[in-house]
Amino acid sequence: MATAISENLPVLLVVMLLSTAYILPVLTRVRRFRLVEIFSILALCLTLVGGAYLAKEVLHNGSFHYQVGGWPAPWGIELVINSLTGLFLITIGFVTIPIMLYASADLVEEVGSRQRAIWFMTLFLLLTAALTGLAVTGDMFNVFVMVEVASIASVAIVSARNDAASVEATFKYLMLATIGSGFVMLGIGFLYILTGNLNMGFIQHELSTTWQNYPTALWMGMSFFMVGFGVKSALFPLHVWLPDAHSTAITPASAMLSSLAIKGYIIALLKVFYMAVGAQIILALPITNILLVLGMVAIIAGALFALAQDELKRRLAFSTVSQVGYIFLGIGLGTVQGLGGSLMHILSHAITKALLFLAAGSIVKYTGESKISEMAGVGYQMPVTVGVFTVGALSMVGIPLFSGFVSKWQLLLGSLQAGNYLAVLVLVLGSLLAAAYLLPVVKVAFFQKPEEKPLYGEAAYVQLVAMLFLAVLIILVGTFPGALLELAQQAARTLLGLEVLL
Amino acid sequence: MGDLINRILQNYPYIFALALFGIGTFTVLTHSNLLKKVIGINIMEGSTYLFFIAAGNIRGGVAPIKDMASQGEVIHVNPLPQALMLTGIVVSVSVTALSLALIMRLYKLYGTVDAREIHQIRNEVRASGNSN
Repeated sequence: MATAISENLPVLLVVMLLSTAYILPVLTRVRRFRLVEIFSILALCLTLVGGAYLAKEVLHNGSFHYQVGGWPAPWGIELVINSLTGLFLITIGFVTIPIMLYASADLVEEVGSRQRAIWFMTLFLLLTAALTGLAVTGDMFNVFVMVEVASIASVAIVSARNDAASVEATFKYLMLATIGSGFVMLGIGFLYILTGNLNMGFIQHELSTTWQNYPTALWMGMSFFMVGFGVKSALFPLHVWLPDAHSTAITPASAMLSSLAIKGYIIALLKVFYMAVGAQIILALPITNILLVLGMVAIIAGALFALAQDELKRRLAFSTVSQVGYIFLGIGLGTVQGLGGSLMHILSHAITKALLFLAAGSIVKYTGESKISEMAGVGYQMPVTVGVFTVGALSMVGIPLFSGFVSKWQLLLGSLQAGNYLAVLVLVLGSLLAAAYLLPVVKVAFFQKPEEKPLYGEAAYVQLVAMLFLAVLIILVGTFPGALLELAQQAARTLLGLEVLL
Repeated sequence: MGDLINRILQNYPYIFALALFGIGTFTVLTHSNLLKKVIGINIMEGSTYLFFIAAGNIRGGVAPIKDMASQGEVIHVNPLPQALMLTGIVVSVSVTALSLALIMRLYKLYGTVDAREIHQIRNEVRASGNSN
C-alpha cells in the first residue's frame, strides 16, 4: 500500500486535490462548517507532505518520469518530476495552507452565505490542483488544459464577493486571460506542426536536430508563448488586468492570486522553453534578451506605479508587477545563478506577498480604511498584524535574514557574473523603490499619532496564527535557505541542460 | 517574390487562421460592447480550431475510421488534432458560459453592457470616496 502510494504520488496529488474540490459542494449540509474547512486544509497539508517527499526524492536520486495509466510516451501522458516540480510543490504547500487557515475565520461573512463559502473553497482547491498539475506535467496539451483550469478558477475566484467592483474586474481578467490562452494554444499548434509530438521530451529530441530548417516558424511559436504566458503572469506592458483583479477580490483570493496563480504560468513558460524546446535553442535565439529587457522595465515601472497608489491593496498589486519583473530578469540572464535566483524568488515572493496581502486585508477590514494616508496609528491597535506586515515589507525590500534577501542576492550575483551592470543597477533601484512604497505604510501605522477613533482591536485568533506562520517561514527561509536554495539551483541546472534531464 | 507567393499559397489555411485570430483579438480589445467582446473571443478560439485541424489534414485523406469494405491503400487524416480540438471546444464553451453569466451580473449591477459606461460609473463611485 505504502509503495503503491509513493510510486503513484505525482498523479495522486492532482487527483486528490481535484476530488476534494468536487466533494466539497456535497458537504453543504454538514452541520458543523468547521469540519468542511478542516477537510480542505487536510488536503492541502497532504499536498505539502507529498511535495516535500517528491522534492527529497529528486534531490537525492535525480528526476524521474511517470506514465499515467501505464501507457508509455508518446501514446500516453507523461509526468516529469524534477527539482522544478519539487520546488513549486513546496511553494504551493507553504502558501495555500496559511491562506486557507486565514480564510476559514471569516469566509462565510466575507462572501455572503455558506453555499458561496463552499464554492469559494472548491475554486480554491481547483486552482491548487491545476497549479500542481502544471508542476508535474510533461505534456504540452496537458499544459494547455491545466492552464485553462487555472485561468477559469482564478477568474471565478475574483468575483467571490459578487459586488460591483469585483465583477467588473473579473470580466476584464476573463477577457485578457482568454486571449492569453488563445496565444498559448497557437504556440502549442506551432510546436505540434514542427515536430508532430506533444510530449516535451520528444519535442526537444526532434527540434534539437531539425530546428535550423525553420527558424521563422519556431520563432513565431515562441513569441506566441511569450505573449500568452506574459499576459497571464502579468509581465509589465501586459499587466493591465492585475491591479483591478487583485485589489478587488476578497483577501484570501488576492493573496492566492498574487502569490501563486501568476507563478504557475511562469513555471509553465519555463517548462515550454527549457523542457520542450531546450536550452540550446532558447539561448541561441534572442528570446532571453527580450525577457531581460522586459523584466528590467517591469521592475522600475511596476514600482513607480505602486508608489503612486494610495489604496493599500492596489499598491501591493502593483508591487506584484514589479516583483514579477525580478523573476523574468533572472530568466533573461540565462545563467544557472540567474535562473536559480529567479526560481528562489518565485518561492520567496510567494510567501512574502501572501503575508502582505493577508495582513493588509486584516488592516483594511478591521479599520474600515482602505487608504494608506488614513491608517495613522493602526499599529497601536493591531500590533501583531502590523508587526507581521513589517516582516513582509522588510523581506520584500531584501533586508538580510529575510527570505527576499536570499533570492535578490542570488539575482544580484547572477547579474554580476553575467557582467550585466545595468541589471545590477535596476535590481538595487528596484529594492530601494520597494522600500519607498512599503515602508511608509509601516511608518504611518506605527509612528503617526492616531486620530480619535473607536477601538477595533486585533484580527481573529486563527488569522493571526496563519500570518505568524508565514512570518516565521520568511525568517526561517531567510536564515537557513540551504536545502531550498540547493533545490532551486539544481532545478536551474536541470533546465539549462547541464544535468541530464531524460 | 514568386517564392513568397508560392509559400503563401501552400500554407493558406494557416494564414487564414492567423488572420481570423487577429480579427478576434482586435474585436475583443477594441469593442466596448461586452457581448461583442464575447463574440470576438469565439472568433479567436475558432481560428485555433482551424489551425489545428489544418495541421492534421492530408489532402485526399478520409476520416480515420476503420472501414472493412474499402480495399487497398486508404489515406487517413491525423485524428489527434481533432481529438485535441474537442477539448478546446469544451474549454471555449465554458469560457463563453462564464462570460455571459458575468455580463448578466454586470447588467444587473450597472444597468448597461457597455464597457466604457461601466468604467465611467466605477470612476464616479470611486471619486465619491467609496472604494467598493
